[in-house]
Amino acid sequence: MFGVKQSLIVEVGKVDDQDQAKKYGVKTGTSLITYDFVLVTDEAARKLRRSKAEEAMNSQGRKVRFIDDLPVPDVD
Amino acid sequence: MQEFILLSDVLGLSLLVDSIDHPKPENSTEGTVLGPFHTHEAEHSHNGGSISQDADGEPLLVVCTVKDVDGNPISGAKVDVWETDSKGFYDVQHADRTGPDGRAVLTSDSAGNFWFKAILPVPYPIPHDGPVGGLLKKLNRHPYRPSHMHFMFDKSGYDPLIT
Repeated sequence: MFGVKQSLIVEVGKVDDQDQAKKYGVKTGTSLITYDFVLVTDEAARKLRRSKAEEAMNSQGRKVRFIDDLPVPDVD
Repeated sequence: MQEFILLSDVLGLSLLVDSIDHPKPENSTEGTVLGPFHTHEAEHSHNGGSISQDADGEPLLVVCTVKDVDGNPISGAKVDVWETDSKGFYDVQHADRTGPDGRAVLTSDSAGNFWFKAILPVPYPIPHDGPVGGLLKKLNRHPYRPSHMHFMFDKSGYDPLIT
């Protein structure tokens, strides 16, 4: 429940090589989870938020202006 | 407060708002719910430290990287991690709790790596003895969340990620 996202599901592996076990100070056979996270810059997130908002307003046929990236009905 | 967060979560409202407020380009990590069990008192830990003192948990090593969408490492990102104990309870759910456990704040190194020792997460039910539990029962939905661990990233210049 709570909208599990497929991309966030990881398989649990094992630490199976001696070097890795030594490097991290664990026994071989210890359960292992690895994940590579990717962050988005504030600027890229802001642009995407704006373009999605414009898309949503257009799809509803709304005439809006954007003030500080917030859609405001254009009544003039 | 807890019931309100849970209600928003079970209805999917939390994730809807998150997806609007924090849109993710295709190649970036998706966000998910914060949940009601994050605290601001987790201790800062060094890479390789252990976040859980639960001796009954199955030992787990977690090795991660944090990068930007072009694959460049992000160093100095604050990474807040939290998980339940081996019985599926967060430290704050124990009446006899003495301090933070199953949580820590790490910092990514110069190559964008961070790693820590923890315990293998277990599935657990959300608190379902309140109104939200009643709602789930009426809808024939179970209250279990899959085994998971929470991560929250904070780095100046980057959109915060909770996952």
